[in-house]
Amino acid sequence: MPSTPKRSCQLVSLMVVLGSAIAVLTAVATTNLSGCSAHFEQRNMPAALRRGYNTAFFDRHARPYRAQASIHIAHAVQHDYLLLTPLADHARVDAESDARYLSDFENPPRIGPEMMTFGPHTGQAAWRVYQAIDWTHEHHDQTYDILADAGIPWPEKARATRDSVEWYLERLRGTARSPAPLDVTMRRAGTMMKPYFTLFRNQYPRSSTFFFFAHWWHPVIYEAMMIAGNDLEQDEAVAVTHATSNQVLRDRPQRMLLSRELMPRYARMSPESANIFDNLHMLHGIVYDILAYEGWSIDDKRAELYRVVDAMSEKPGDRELVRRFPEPFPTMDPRCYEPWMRGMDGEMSRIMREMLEEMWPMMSPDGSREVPAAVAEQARLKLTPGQQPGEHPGSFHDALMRIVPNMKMAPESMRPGAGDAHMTKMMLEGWRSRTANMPSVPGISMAEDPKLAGPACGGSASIDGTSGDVAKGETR
Amino acid sequence: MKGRVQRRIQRAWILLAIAACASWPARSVFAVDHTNLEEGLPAEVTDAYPLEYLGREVQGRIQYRYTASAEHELWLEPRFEFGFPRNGQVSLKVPLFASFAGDDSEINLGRTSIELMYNFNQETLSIPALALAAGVEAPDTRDGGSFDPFGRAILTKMIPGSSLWHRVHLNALLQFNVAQDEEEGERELRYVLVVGYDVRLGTTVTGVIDAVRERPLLDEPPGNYGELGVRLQLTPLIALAFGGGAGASDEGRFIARATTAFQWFAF
Repeated sequence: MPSTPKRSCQLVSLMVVLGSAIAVLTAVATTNLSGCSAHFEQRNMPAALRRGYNTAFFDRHARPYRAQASIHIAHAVQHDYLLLTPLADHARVDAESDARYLSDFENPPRIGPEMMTFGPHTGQAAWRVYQAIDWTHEHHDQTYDILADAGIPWPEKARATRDSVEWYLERLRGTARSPAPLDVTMRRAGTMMKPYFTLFRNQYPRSSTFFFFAHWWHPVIYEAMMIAGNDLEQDEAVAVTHATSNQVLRDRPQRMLLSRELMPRYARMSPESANIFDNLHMLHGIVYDILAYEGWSIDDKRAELYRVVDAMSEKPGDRELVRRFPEPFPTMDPRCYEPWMRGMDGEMSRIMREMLEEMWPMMSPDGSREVPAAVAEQARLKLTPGQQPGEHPGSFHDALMRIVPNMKMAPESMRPGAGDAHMTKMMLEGWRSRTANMPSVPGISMAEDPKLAGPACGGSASIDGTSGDVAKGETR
Repeated sequence: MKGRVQRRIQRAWILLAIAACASWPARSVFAVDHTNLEEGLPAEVTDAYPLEYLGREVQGRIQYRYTASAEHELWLEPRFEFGFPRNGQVSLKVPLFASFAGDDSEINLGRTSIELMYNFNQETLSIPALALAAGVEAPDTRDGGSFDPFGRAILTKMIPGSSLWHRVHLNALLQFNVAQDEEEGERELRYVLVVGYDVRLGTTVTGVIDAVRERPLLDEPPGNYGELGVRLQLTPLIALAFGGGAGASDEGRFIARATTAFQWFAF
């Protein structure tokens, strides 16, 4: 038997080793290394919800699953493109990245990636952004699986989706995307007058429109399953919808399409989940804008990124707002790439236009409440991908300063990591006022597995009845 | 008397492992884990990151070893990992091995171990990820031994300024021989030092390379070897690993190993 003193020595030496390691870590974490970015954060990644439906989308819709994997790789890669290449090289980088994304989409990988695997530099600089993205991509997987799993009876889909949403929101509070409509979270984020806003879409239009395509693809695949139900019609609807990708890639959307536009039935079944995806897709765009901006250090960028991640996460009362959005094309057919999906006019630009109207009285040099035509025109040009004739260079803020040089701005709100609480409050009040009489989006009956009819392209009925035919296969 | 107690303890470990298998739920989840290095899958080097919180994983490896004492050994090692607490993981390893020397062969239960690893931080551009682990190994059925505690420090750092996704790792393990038998030449301390590198080779494949120095508790010369391997994500649930390595003991005797392994984000 070893002597007691020897054991004590062993214990002491073990404690010394462990204590030293902790001391080193603490010292490194609390010391701002000269010239280095030395923030400290924990990984805090929860496991996904385990249910029998896991991997059903992978098993049933292999090609679309792989397409999604390629889209997520593109998202990851774009971060490092922006952080590791100068803005001056934007044309070359944009062409190179777009070509890569198209190639990957044509020859997709077998398995979806985590952001860190394909954008590792950015992940080291701002882990929490990847945490938010990966966690929400996992929610994509979960909710696709629920719809794809024929073992879940159609009337049970909504309940299973609710469980998945609950897991998503509860397991990563503060980082999970909010279930509130984008109208609310965009106003909270208050990015419109930041010095980076619109840089990505203006300087990297090909990559930007690839992601507009990606954000068309995701919702229409949900909606294809929603109009087809559990049976073999689902395989047909998903395949036909996915096959539209090439057409859409040739003539890409010029705006980020929202869930309410492209998956109205899914949004009625689970408005929380639909809003979560809008909030993720918008986060992608804002993150790219921030990373593209060269006026800030990496620490500044992280501060702003984390501010936006926070602002677009769930806040008290968000769950009461989940159905507070319009559905402009409630009977759209996801198998059809309609003209209204292509231009820059839509729900996204409406939200931006409204925010500008709400902000303007506080920014206007003469106190006028009406947004001048020149300002509205610059907003339209800046929200359009690429550089347009008549568009001023730089961000949206830069462009406005060119045409309204004495515009009133709160300097502190321009700083990285700082929001403008007053402006946000005014915008949210404006939104409440606008939507006071707007009916909430109704639920959808999931009592019966829907019957799939032939595609009804050109017939999506808008909410104001401006179009004719209603897509068949409506779930009632 | 002492041997009987040891055998009972070993049986208890085996029953515990079987119970853990049997009680696991039945289907799996989204996961991409080929980038999350695990000790011995296929190389000794591991990274500083645990499973996700409340994640569960079954792992298994089959390893051939040619030892410094000219024995051929075949190891079969099932493992179970559980992501608990947050930023930590608990792992249980129950190795079985068959050894062949000349005409003699025998099958034994190896050193069953349980280990708690805790990750302190996500790496940043300047700070590596640090994890510390502590565990205990039970006696095996060939050499006996005691319940020997060990501690492990793991550092992982991505090489910044690159989109390639490649990382360096440092691992240091220190184990105490609680019931050192000095007459048998047993050492008081065992250590394993590993420096490793892994790199993304494709969308679902990573390569790993490491150099290892290990001084065992038993009266055997320390070994020095290098390993090379690949890790492949086969489905969202299954990752495979293949690798091998070779080197020499301090006395210049040849040693080698070859490994095939899987990780299953099962149940």
